[in-house]
Amino acid sequence: MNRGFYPRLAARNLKTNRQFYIPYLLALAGTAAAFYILCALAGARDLPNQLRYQYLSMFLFIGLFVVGLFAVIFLLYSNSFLMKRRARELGLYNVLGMDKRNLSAMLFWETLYAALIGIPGGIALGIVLQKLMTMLLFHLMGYSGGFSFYVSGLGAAVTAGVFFAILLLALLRNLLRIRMQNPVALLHGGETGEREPKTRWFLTALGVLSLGAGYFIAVTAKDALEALSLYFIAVFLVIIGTYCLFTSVSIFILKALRKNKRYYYQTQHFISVSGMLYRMKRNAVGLANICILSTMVLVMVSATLSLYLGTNDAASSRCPADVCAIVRYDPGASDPFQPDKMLAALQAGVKKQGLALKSARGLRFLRLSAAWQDGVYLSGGETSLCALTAADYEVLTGTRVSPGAGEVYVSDSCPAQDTLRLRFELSGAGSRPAERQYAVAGRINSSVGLGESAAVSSDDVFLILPDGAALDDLWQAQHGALGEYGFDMRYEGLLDLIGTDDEKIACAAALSDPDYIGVTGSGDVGTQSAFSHDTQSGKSYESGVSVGEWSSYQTACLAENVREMYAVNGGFLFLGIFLGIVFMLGMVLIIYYKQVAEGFEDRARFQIMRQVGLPSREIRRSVNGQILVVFFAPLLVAAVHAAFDCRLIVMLLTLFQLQNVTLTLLCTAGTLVCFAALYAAVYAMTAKVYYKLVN
Amino acid sequence: MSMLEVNNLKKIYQTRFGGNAVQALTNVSFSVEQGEYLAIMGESGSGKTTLLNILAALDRPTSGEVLLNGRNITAIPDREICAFRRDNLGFVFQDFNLLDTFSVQDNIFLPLVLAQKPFAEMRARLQPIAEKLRIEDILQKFPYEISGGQKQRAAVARALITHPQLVLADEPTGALDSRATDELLQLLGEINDDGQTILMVTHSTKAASHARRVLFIKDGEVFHQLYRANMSEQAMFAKISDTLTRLQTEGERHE
Repeated sequence: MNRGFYPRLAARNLKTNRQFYIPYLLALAGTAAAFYILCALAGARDLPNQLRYQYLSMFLFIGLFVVGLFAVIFLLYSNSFLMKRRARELGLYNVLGMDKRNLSAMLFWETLYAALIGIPGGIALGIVLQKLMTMLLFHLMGYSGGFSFYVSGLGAAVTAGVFFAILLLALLRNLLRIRMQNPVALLHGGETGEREPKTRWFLTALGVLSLGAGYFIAVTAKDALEALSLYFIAVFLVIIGTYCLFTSVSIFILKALRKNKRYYYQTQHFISVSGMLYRMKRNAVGLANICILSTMVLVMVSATLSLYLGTNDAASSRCPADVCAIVRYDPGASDPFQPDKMLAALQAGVKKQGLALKSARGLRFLRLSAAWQDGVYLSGGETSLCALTAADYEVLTGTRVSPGAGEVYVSDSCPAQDTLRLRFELSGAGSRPAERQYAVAGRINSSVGLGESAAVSSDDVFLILPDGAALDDLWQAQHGALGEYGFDMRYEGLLDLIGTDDEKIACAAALSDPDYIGVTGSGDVGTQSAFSHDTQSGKSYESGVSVGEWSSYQTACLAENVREMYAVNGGFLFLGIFLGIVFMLGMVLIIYYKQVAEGFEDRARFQIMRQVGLPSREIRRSVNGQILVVFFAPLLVAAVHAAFDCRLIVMLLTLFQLQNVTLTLLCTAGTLVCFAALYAAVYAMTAKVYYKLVN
Repeated sequence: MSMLEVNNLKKIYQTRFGGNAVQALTNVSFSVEQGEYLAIMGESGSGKTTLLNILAALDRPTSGEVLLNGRNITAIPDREICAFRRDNLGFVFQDFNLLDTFSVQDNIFLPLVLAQKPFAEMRARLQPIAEKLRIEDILQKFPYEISGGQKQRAAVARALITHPQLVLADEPTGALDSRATDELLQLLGEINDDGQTILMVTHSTKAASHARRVLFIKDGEVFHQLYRANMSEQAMFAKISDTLTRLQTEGERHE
């Protein structure tokens, strides 16, 4: 044999097996392109080095890791599919006199060709798509500065390195496979008689249990923090459950159907049930993979989409006015804080900035954490109580409630019946417990926006007290009992302005300086927004009007919050869509390979049934039904997973200040519809391959 | 009247793009009586398979007719043909054609299930056939678990379970070892003794020697036929061999 023999043979093999190799090369190029794009974006040089963009490279690195892992699993899977299909061909070469070393040389050249076509092709595709992706990313993040186009040499090098390594791994696996088998086994590799699938009780039970447990967690999680701590456990359980569902539970059900003689021995059930048994055996793992990928795409896209679309809502629940001034103070101080003077100073400050004021209002409130125990709220716990005056409540919501002295209005979610008891107590020696008791005068709808303070939980229980004196009294009670572990009294001045976003942001920054608005006092001073806090501590301001003592003073700006949150949520959405596309690509290839495999398997079976007297029309109907079940079961299961997951996602999104349940449901439903349409389109295209093989 | 009458059958295969026409059957006529056991012999390419396909209503002749109990099966419309085949014909193939996804019992039930018979009736019909073919022990097994001879007996059971007018066997011993062959031929003989009409296509002299009558076809025509009458199997074997030799040599003379 001359030197050029193996390269030529390898090239010819790729050509004759193009039915399998073209999709494989496309998958290789697609994943390499995705990998390169993330590499290039992670190292993007033209994003300003501001705080709100620093999360982006972190997201992109996570994405890079996910795509890399996906590429390894997925390319190895495709490769083993290819080798199984070619077992016979390799066996024939072996019988015709190529020893294992010759075969290895041939496979080496094939891999080399695949690498030389797929990897540079993928990087080139990545470079072409990079600009589009950069535009999409910047648009989603609300970044308006221009960007330059560049080729990331490092990104290309890393991509090439990673994918050559993956292909090398695949080649090693193939070589090992050849070494392990004898020629006759290789020759008959494709046609060993298939055993009937066994019912595996353990896996069936495990599947039912873990799926049930996962769903149980999804249905019973009480709040966002519990949802967060249990989320990955639930995901893990559902993944195990899904694999067992497809591999064992399906077989179990089909066998049960087969045992039912009256059901089984009917023309359409007879062929479908027995056919499905074997189809499930062959395809279970692939289908479970499709199902899990689909669920991931659904969850990722719907969650990031609702986060993105809910950005404005979330920002205004953090910061309910254009500029919020947040003051923490001690009502028991010798020179008590005076909210009205503060608000006047803020208004003067806005005027100094040259901006017109649309509205200005302020409110005081006390936020406590407590636990509901035996009909009493005990200080320290997971429930947030938020007390404010009836006057402030009316300013905030426009609803008037008038509790009398010793009375309170509470949120409708509050478990207290006629009287509300609060008890403050520190554990340990020397505790001086205190208690307050109010008559419940009525209930209010608790969906009140309360500035930054409403940020963490939508489950706040609100207490509407008659006046400022009652509020101060409550503060005193808890302060007396809890001392330095007590809670802050807060004042928020809420200013709505007329002006551009940049003017408002500048105004909020200017107002954050007590000297600028001309008030005295000392304590922590600064600005805060969604992802950053900029604080100077312990400075004294002497040069202005006295507004009483305060311990901290900060401003926040809605426009700034919106920008920061778009930058982060836009990055999330980009990653969600990007990974969604990559996973979809993988799914398309798995579906295609499954169709091809099914086509080859069914060809022989079709012929026998025709000879035994089953009309072709009947066969086609039955097989159509089976194929539909096989390919749409994963979609259906994924939809069920996503539906259960929805509740958890709604709760998790509250951690990102998104409270809009309807939006999340709409996003999930919309994503599901789009995804199902895409899936059906993919199915329709690949089904053609199947019918071509069968007929 | 004969049970099966084949009159002036002709089949010409036209290649797709109007290339050379191939004449598979030139002019074939014969008849089969109720309860007969007929073997059709011929070399590869003699037209045996074409003939069988036409008898099985799997293919249609270019001209000529096939009458089963007076009904012309070449004129049965397409949508009835499957039901007709199921109700009137039983098939035994060289490579068994059992479906791997069914147990032996379910493979045998397949035509009955297609005919939508109740399960109790299927059981009742299977009982005597399974006993006769000695496959009671393997009914619950799967095709990949049993031997070739067992597979072929299962296939025969599948052919018989519909109580067909005619059993068509295409090289039934082609994939069997000699012991399984003997066993199967003996069983086919017994089935025929019970009154079942069998038509077998084969080029095994041994298989043909078990039949009551042997028809030889060559180049698409019936060339010769032999009746066994009271001859022993050995004598019949010798006679068939002679005829085959003659078939060969005369063929050479023609060319």
